[in-house]
Amino acid sequence: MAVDASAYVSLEAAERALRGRLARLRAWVRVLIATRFAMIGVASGAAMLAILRGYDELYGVTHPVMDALSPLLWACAAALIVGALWPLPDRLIAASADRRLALRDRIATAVELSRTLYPDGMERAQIFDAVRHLSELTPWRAYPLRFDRLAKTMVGCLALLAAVELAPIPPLLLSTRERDEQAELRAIAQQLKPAVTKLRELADEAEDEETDATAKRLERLTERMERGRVPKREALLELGAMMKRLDARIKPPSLKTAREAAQEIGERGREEMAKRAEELAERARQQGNRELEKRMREAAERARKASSADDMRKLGEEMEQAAAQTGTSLNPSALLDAAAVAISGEEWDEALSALESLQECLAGGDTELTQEQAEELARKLEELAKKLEGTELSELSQRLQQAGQCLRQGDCQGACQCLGQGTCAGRSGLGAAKLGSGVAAMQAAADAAAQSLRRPGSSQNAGMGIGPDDGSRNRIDPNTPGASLYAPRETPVDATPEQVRSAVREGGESYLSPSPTRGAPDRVDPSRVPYYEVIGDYSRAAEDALETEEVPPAYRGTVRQYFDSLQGGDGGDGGNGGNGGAG
Amino acid sequence: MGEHEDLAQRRAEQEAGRFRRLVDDLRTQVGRVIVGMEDVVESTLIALLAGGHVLLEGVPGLGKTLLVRTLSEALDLKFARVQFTPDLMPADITGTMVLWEGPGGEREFRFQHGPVFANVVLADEINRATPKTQSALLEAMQEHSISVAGTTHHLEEPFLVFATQNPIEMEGTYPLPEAQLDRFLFKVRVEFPTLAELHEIMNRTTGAETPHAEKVASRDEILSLAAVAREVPVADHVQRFALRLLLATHPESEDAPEGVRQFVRYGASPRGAQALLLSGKVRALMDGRFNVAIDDVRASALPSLRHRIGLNFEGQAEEIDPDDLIREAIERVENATRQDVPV
Repeated sequence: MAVDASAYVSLEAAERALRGRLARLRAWVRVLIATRFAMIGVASGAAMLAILRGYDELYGVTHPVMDALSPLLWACAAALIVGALWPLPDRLIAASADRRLALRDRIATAVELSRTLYPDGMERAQIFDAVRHLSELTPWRAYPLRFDRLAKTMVGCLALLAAVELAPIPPLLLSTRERDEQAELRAIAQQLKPAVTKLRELADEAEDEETDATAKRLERLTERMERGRVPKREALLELGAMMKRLDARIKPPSLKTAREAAQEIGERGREEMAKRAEELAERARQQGNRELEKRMREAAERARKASSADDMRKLGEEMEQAAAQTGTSLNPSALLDAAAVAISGEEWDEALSALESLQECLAGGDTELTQEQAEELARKLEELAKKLEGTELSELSQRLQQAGQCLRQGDCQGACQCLGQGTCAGRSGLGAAKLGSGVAAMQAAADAAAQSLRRPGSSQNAGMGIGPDDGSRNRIDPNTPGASLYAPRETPVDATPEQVRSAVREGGESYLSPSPTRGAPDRVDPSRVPYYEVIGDYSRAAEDALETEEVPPAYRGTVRQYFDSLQGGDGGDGGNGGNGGAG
Repeated sequence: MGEHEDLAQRRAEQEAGRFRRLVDDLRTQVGRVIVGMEDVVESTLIALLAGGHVLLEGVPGLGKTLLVRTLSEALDLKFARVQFTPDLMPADITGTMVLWEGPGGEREFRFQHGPVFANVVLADEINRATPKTQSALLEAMQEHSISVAGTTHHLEEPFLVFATQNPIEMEGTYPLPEAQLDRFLFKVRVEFPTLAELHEIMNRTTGAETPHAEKVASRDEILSLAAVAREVPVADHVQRFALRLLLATHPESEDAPEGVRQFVRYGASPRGAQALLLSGKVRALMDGRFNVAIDDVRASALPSLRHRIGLNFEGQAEEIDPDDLIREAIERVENATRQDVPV
């Protein structure tokens, strides 16, 4: 046995080295324990999820939609905790390393001897011998990462889950009707995709998390529809739920309100601009400048027809030159008119630019406003402010109001400041307005998709009545047989959610008696609603009740079966086909 | 203080190195005469350095006697051979008082040393002698002394008894009593040589020259190295393993495997545990280690324990091999004491 002189360092140093090496081993073992438990967790989680999802796909058992990734991530997190907390005393690590590296109990003995107060020569030699062996040892050599049976099982389970989640259901397992449904869903998904992408972009720009989340859900839904991994019934329910969420996002304030306001503002702006052009024409006529008069008359005509802020800007420039020729100056309120037209055309950038130009004009001091001009400008600002109240641009409205008040008090600088703040607020409101338009577009697309899915004869689940009730949809053609019976939809109703019961008096005269309804879908409904329009809502309410465990588990199957049977009878001859029985 | 400890450590390492060199030399010298029998040679060397006696069991003609003789030749030790027969008397082993007549005609009783007064005693076919004669070795083996005519005579160290016995021819033999069996450190089974070994034996023994071993160590060296072996530390978990293994040979023990419970009448004595650890220490040094490993205990288990286990009637009737029971016990104790991390 060769004696290495260089190895003779102090015993304390050797013991420190021994502990240091053991600590490295321990850290690596913790990592491996965490990995092992993570593999066990992921494998069992993936296997269970695959079974549940597979069962769900094949038999349509509805249970809460599970995100496949979350349980697996939880398993990994739990494994990390287990790895960090697993008791690993020096003795255990040493014995384990001895076994794995065939060190013949060198390390375990050294760990024990290192606790001896005064080790003798042979004991010291043993400790040094163990340290020498440990110094040549790397943790991953003692405990190598192996692609063992457990890892293979985990990969297999994950592959199974991925297959269940992502791969299309083999056509052999689907009926003809289900295959048709999937083709239809794929087509609808293709239609929905651009709107969803646009909505996501807008939500990102506006940093609206809730809309972004809805857009993501819609995106996932379209992906699942494309892959044929969602039954039609679930697609309808999901679409309905998301349309409701989108509804909640756009009211109030709604773009619709802003648009209505904008149109009125635009009309006023155009009219004001035309009036100004006519004044200039009149002045030109008085000065005998026929050519200018003609141009201004044409300009007045163009102002009335102006559809964009660009047109208005060009007109403004032309009129400014004409005013200079006639020896007058153009009232700065012309810029406000340009802004109004821009708002009416939803050219928000142009509108804000026009307001900024107005601010610059007032701040520059080039134009001295007369009392009359200031009054007019203040009036217009206040009018515009009033029109924009309650819209996405409500803060801009407030600032415009303040600017008007400042102008009335002769405080031009204050007005400038308010206009500056207003344009800033307007820019943030602009995002919301854009998002609102995106949401509206998405809602329209989703609405169309839902309509398409509900179309009579398109599938067994037709006529589920999913989607927002804006009164414009579900209109029945008056020429259809039975339209008179279900015509109440056509009648504008201003009512609270209640159902009315009708009866026939003697002599054929009917009367209506209101009676409150509990548990019905929250919608304003006329007295009689076609069966195909409500069955979806009732079915969904039943599903909700099933999910929230209001119904005892033993009866869930019966409830589900009942609604399925209703829809099943419906699908044979289309959505309207089942109405006779229900009506 | 540090320098003193360093020196002690250096000395221990040098002694361990010397120990290993000597064992290698002994192996080489024995290997010049003995063909094969690596396990037997290994066990014999371990017993020699642990200061224990060995019972060699095997059919005649396998080279048991030659092995012992060669070993004593290589060690420069006094060697004596006693052929045990039924008519052998205790005095033939220990020696006796004889009437001695001096040159002047004076007479006195003087003690005539028997063959036991050697360093290496080969008790050939020990089971052929009567129990009375066999027991003459009891005191010598345990106490390293003999008492004759009221006088105790100490035997010179090292004192090693290598006994042989034939396992087949049992007629007219006297099986060794448990007390005597327990005094042997090892019971080694000598197996029949393989074809290749037989070829080599023929080549070496039928030629003109018979190979001989050269002396490689003196008596003092052997004693010094045997003392070094006793310094090897044993960790708690290793000692615990050895003791649990010993207890597992007892039918009433919790660790006892099914076979032991069914076929064993009594298990190994504490001398068995001493044998396990002592032989483990020697094995450790031979392997270049300064610590006893569980592997050492496991390797020593069969020769250390097989002669200390007493089978019951059922075990004897079923011709149960104690080796199988020991293997079963080792497996059980290993499973019970294994420490590992779950990766």
